[in-house]
Parts: sequence; C-alpha cells; structure tokens
Amino acid sequence: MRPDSFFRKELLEDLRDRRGLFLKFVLPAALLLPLILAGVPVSLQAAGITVAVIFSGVFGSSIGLVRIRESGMLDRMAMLPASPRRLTAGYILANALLDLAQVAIPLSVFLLVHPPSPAGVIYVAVSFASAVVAANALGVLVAVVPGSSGEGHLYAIVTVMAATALSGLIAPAPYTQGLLPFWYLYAALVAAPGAFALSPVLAALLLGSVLMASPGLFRAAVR
Amino acid sequence: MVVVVRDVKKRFGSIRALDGVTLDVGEGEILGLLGPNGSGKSTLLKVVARLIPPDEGSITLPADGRAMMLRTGMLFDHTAHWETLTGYENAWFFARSYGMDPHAARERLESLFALFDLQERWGDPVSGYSYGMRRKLGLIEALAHEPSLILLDEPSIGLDYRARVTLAGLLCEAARRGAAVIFSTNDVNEAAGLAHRVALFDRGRLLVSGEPSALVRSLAAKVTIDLRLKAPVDPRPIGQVPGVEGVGADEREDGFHVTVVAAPDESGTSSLLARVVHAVAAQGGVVVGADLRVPGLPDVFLAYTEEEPGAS
Repeated sequence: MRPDSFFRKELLEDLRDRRGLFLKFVLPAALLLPLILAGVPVSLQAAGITVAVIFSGVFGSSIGLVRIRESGMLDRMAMLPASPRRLTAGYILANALLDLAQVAIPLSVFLLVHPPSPAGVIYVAVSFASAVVAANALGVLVAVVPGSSGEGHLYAIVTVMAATALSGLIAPAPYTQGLLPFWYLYAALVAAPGAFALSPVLAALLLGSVLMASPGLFRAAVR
Repeated sequence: MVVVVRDVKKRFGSIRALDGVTLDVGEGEILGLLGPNGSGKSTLLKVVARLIPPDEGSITLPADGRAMMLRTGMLFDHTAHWETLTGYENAWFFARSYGMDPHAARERLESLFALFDLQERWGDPVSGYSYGMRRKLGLIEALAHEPSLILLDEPSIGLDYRARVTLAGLLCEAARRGAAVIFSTNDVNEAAGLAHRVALFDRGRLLVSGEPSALVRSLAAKVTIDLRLKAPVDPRPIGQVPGVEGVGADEREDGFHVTVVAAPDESGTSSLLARVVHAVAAQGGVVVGADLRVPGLPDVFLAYTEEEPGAS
C-alpha cells in the first residue's frame, strides 16, 4: 500500500508501528475479555466495552494529533492543496477503522456469550460504528486545546471521564445520556429499548461539527 | 509579478515580526532573504505562503486557495516527517497530494533522490535519517511537483557541499522554467551566488533590496591590496597606476608592505592587481605575498545591520 492520501498514510503508519499495533489489540482484549467471561452483570460488561470505545477513540485521536502538531507536520499539512476538512476526515476515519478492529475482538466475544436478536445485531453494529466515529471526532476536537502532549493527555483523560459520566455509564444521567452516541451503544449491548437511529445522527452531527472547525485546527498549528 | 507584497505588518505579541514590508518577485526570479536571526525572514515566507495572515497590508499571488497551493512548494525550517514511513513514502505522499500522477511522481522522485544521493536510503524509515538527509528529503518534497512559487526557509542548512550545488542547480532550473523562488539564508555568500536579488531585513524591516552587485557598488567600498615585498620600493609610482586612489608603505616584521586602496574596477580586480604588480616590478620590486580584499555582500550585510548607537 502506498500513502496516496492522508487516510492511507494514517493506516500505513499504524500498520508499520508493530509494537503500538500489538498493544492496541492486546490491551482492550486483556481488559475486557476477563470481564466478559467472568459472568459479571451484563450492564457492567456493556459499560466496559463502551468505555473502551470512548477511551481508545478520544485518547488515540487527540494524542496522535497533538503529536503531529508538536512535530511540525501540521504546518506542512496546512500547505497541502487538500482541504483541512478532507484531511481531518481522513484522520478520523483511519483512526476509527483501527479502533473498530481493536474493540471488535472483545465485542465479538460479548455477542457470542450474549447472543442478541437479529435486529439487536444491527443495533449493536450501527451504534458501535457510530460511537467509534464519535469518540475519534471528540478526540480531534480535544486536540485543538492543548499546547503540549502532556497537556493533551490531561485533556483527553478529562474528556473520557466526562463522556463516560455524561453517557450514563457510571450512574444514570437522564438529561445528557441521550445526547451522546455512547449511551446508545451501551443500551444496544444490554438490549435496552432505545431510539437507536439517533446514534448515527448524533455521531454525524459531532463529526460534522469537527469537520467544520477543522480549518481552525490547521490555522492554530502555524506560528 | 508572481508575488506582490505591499506594506505588510505582522506582530507576535510585543514583537514586530514584519514592519511595513513591500517587495515584488517576478517570474523566473530568485530572491534571497538575508538578515540577522529574528529579522522576519521566516515570518515573511509564512505570510507569502498564506500560512499566517498579515495584521496589515496585502499579499497578491497569481491564484487563490487550492489553485495556488498546488503551485507552491515550501521547505520549512524544521525537519518534520512521518517517522515510521520511509523517505520514499514520505515524498510519495506529498507528490500525490500535490496532484502528481503515479507515473510522473515515480519518475520525478527517482530522479530527485538520485540527485541528492539519497537513493540508497529511500527505502529506510525516516526515523533513521540524519539531519542532513531529512533536509534533503524536505527539499525533494518541496520541489517534486515543479511548483511555480518556491519558498525555502534556510534550504542549505545541514546540506553537504554536493547537495548545495545540486540545490543551486535545481533552483536555477526552476527559475529558467519561470518559477519564482524566495529563500531565506544566513549565508551571505550563498545569497550572493544564487540570488538574482537580495532583500536585507532587520527587526522586521526591509532595509534594502537589489541585485547583489548593485548593493555592493552602492556601498562605494574600496578594494584593498596588501603586497609583501622582498625589499623596499618607492611607493609613489604605484600611486600613479590607473584606478589607484591611495598607497601606503611600511616595514613590518615579515617584510616590506605596500598597501593600495582602489575603487572597484569595471575591468575586474585581477586586472587592477596585475597593473599594481607590474608597477612594483618596474621598480625592481619582488612580490612575495599578496592579500586582496574586495568588497562584497558581507560588507553590505554588516553595513546595514550594524547596531546604531542607542538603538534598541
């Protein structure tokens, strides 16, 4: 594969980093599989998977982007004739693809242990994809703020915790959980009734907002 | 004109990075930006590249937005690359992003990697590249798509002599093709040798611009010839040599010295030197050493950037 586009370049970079790739696949499995196989309540397993999606998406995208900016590559990206929105979309989608793959293993085991109805599989698939894209979009948004990767870690942690709490994964958050796509993944996993169709809509709204703001991300990079 | 800069001002907090800069760069012209560190050269390049907006003033380019970006090649003063990708993959990404088709990109990149002596390392990850190799790769990425506006921030830093010669050749070739080249440098001699015109900056202000030879002439600096002779001669006949404006003589520890001051000669400094040596020889003098001091762009740099008393 040749890096003909930012999307392909991101994928190629992820595939080249063997150690990083190994950790990205092993960590979610190592944390989630014992939880899924231990027979703890399904709600806890579902929350664990959802938190893993939020964590890998927000953390991976924000820290990656902060590092790109620190290296000076964002200056160079700003000189490319491709639009910032297209570059940002390529970045989010490449990272989302990797996150989908890395959480797909524990998620598949969860679905084997707790087989859903055929409609439930669709709900899970749609809400899972939506949550992954939303988490990565959120990560890009968070990356605009910090000035260093140290700060980036701090902002990412705070965002993960806030998204987890506001999505009702720690305690019910009736006023906010319905506004975030992550709760819909949780609800789909526990087979709770919910307006699943809202999940991709919310993710698309979040993604759209990030893409709209992306020219500012590149402008902020250049000094 | 490819680039028209009019009264551009840019501040970063309390620092005046650009203070009313006005200059033009035409097709096929190579402009060298000279000046002390922090004089605004890099900021001007970024403003021209439209990476940072000016606070005041205007930049006019032949096209806007994506169309102009497609025609612009830029080398930054840092060496950022995608570290886990190979040098070739990095260059490939930029070549394709600038709209080159795969066949043209392959041919051009192979040629440039060979020109910069990087072909044996193009398949290695950039993380293993030295500083100079990274600079070469940056240049390949900036020049591969044959841009019509080339902006290079200190392009020769870290380059070996052969790569500098290659770079000079590539920039001259680009200028012949009609590209406008703007490069910043701290190497005055590089600017003198490569640029059609130089622009000298200090504290964000454009002090002077023009052809290097014209700037040197404007200083009205003198040529100084210091001759060491085997035995003393009468210096007065040397003072009669055409072009010579003054002559002095003194006995030093290492021999008898004749110092000649002359106006820069249209027929060349070597012709003047020959005439002076001939005048010495006519008196039976034997020259055992000569030191020639010809004014150049370094003198222009020093003359214009000298700290004024009381200046802050």
